[in-house]
Amino acid sequence: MRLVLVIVFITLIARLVAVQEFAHQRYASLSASELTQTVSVPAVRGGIYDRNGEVLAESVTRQTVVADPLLITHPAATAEALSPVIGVPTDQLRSELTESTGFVYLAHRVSDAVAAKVTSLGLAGINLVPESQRVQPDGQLAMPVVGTVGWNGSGLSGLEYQYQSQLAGQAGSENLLQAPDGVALSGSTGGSVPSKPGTGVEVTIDESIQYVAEQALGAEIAASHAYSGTAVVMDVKTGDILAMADLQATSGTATTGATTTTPVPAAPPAGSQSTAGPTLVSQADTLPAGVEEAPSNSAVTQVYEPGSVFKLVTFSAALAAGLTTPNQVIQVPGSLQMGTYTFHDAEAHGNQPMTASQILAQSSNLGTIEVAQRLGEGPLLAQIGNLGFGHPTGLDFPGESEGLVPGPAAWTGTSIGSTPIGQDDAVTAQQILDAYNAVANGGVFVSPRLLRGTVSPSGTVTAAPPSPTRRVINPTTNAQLVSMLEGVVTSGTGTEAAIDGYTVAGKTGTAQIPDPNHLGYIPGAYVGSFAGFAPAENPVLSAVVVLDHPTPIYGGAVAAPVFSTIMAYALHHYGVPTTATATASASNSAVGGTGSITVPAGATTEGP
Amino acid sequence: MWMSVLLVVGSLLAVVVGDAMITGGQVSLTTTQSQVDAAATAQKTYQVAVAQMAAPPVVVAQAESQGLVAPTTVVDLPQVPLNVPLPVPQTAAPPAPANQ
Repeated sequence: MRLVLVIVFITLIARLVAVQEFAHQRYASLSASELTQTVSVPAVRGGIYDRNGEVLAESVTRQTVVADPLLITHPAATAEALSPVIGVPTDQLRSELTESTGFVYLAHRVSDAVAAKVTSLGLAGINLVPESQRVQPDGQLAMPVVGTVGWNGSGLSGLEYQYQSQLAGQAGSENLLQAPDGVALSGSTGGSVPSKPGTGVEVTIDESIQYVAEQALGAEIAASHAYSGTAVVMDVKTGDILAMADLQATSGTATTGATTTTPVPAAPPAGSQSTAGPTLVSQADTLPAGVEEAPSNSAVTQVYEPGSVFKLVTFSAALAAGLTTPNQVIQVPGSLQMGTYTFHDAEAHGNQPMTASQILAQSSNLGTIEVAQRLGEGPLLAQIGNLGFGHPTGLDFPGESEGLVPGPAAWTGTSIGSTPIGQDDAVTAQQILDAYNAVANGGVFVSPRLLRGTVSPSGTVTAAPPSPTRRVINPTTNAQLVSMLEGVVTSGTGTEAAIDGYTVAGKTGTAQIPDPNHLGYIPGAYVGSFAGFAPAENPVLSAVVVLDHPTPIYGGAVAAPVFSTIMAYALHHYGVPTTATATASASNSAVGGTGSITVPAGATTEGP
Repeated sequence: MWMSVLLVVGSLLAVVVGDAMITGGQVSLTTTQSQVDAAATAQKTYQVAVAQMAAPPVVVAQAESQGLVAPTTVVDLPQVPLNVPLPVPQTAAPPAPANQ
């Protein structure tokens, strides 16, 4: 008997030692797992700021109303008290408060005033938990560029999507004691890993220019009954995109001047455990009636046949090759037959002599084709690629298109007629602007950029690297091109682009829209555009305006005035001296005299 | 004997007091951290509120409500050269003294 007792005792001791000494960690962790649970602590998403540090998108903390139905003894009374405060029907609340669970969401991201009222009610089992909310304080301004955030806190489109990894930060974790039913007990921390806030993004957009661009473009879309429109403004020297407006006509009601906020995406499904809200947009934007922000940044994602603005490519190559000069007289026929296709000018005429400058100013298709035939396929295709067409712009914007340009394999008998005048090509508005910006920049191509820098959580701004540059047109040819493009505005098809006090150079485009279902074009459907820069003698800003399906159809009538409005504001905004003033101060000995004018750098030394 | 008991009890008491002080400090630290978080949250909220009030559409609406209009033309003042003397301002001649 004693032996049995001794054996049992020794066995117990051995087991005790095994459990306490050798399996201690395992049992301790098993115990902890029953007592605690680890919850993810979302990181605060970085903001998106314009070039002057103005907020374009920012995350703020909102309170969400939650309930523990197991702690609520009078669900009906609680529902009646809470309903008018959080705006949820009493019946719905009563149903939620009687669920056999320890946690239900009642209202996501309520205002601070509502949260204060909920707290003051002092209802047992009703609590507030913080949740992150994305806000765009400027309303829908630049929304296709900035993009949106979904219910899970991730970027869905635009810059929010492109810079998701930087903006999101790194989520932390927190160990919470839990009740027997598995409900986490708030505040009972048992160790935590802090979250790392996201890095902010400072973009090259200038809020003021963006606003004016959207207003001018929106007004023209409404006036010309266009389907949609795009306007992009660029800093000639740096490639910084100062405004990128993408609007479309809508048959719905126009936006109002109210300052309330509404969520853009639909509400999350019931029981959603999301930790970051979708983008909230202040309804402060005042676009003209019948116009709204486009769903995507069509300046870089949508391609179109550019039409006559593409003639820049043909003339730049021909001038560089010495095949023509601005004053060379060229016999322009009344029509030109190539295979089964007959080319003609917008206005019928017989054979007539025109200088190269006049051909560009009057946007003669046949004159341009005459020049292109001297040039030939190889040099023309080379110049198309040289000016950035058919290649990514370098923005790396989500959904960006590199365009469609004909290669040698796709070259046909009529290509030498269609390609030089902007048919057979599909380009983005940004690519057109890049080419004109290269001419504005003395023949040096500068890649566009939207990212100006990153903003650390402490507010320190780290500048992004400057855009790469390359020479694409020699200085002599470039000077001839600038002179010819000036002629377009002074005496050609682009007179509506003129700006009081400044010299403007540019080119109009009126392009037919290809029929997606049949060979040929949609009857009566056109894209009107204008691309150019100012001041012509010392370019500071370049811009492109594109309108889809406008009435009247001509780029010179619909897009050029928008260009003029936007550019006039931007030139004054940045203090660019008028041409007469700049000439007077050329000696650089006058008050306010300016040598080389550039767009101000904005706030780079301190975060917003 | 009593000294030993006193020593043990005293040591235990010191440990308890020390532990209480550490816990108190931890609570204070947590409270301060909560205050910092609350202040940071408020700062973000105010920042967004300011941005909403300074948004171009709001500024334009306010300006228009006060009767301001966008200029149709902008006239730049002529620049003044510094390599020549500034022009003497034209002033009216002082009135002649009255006859006594």
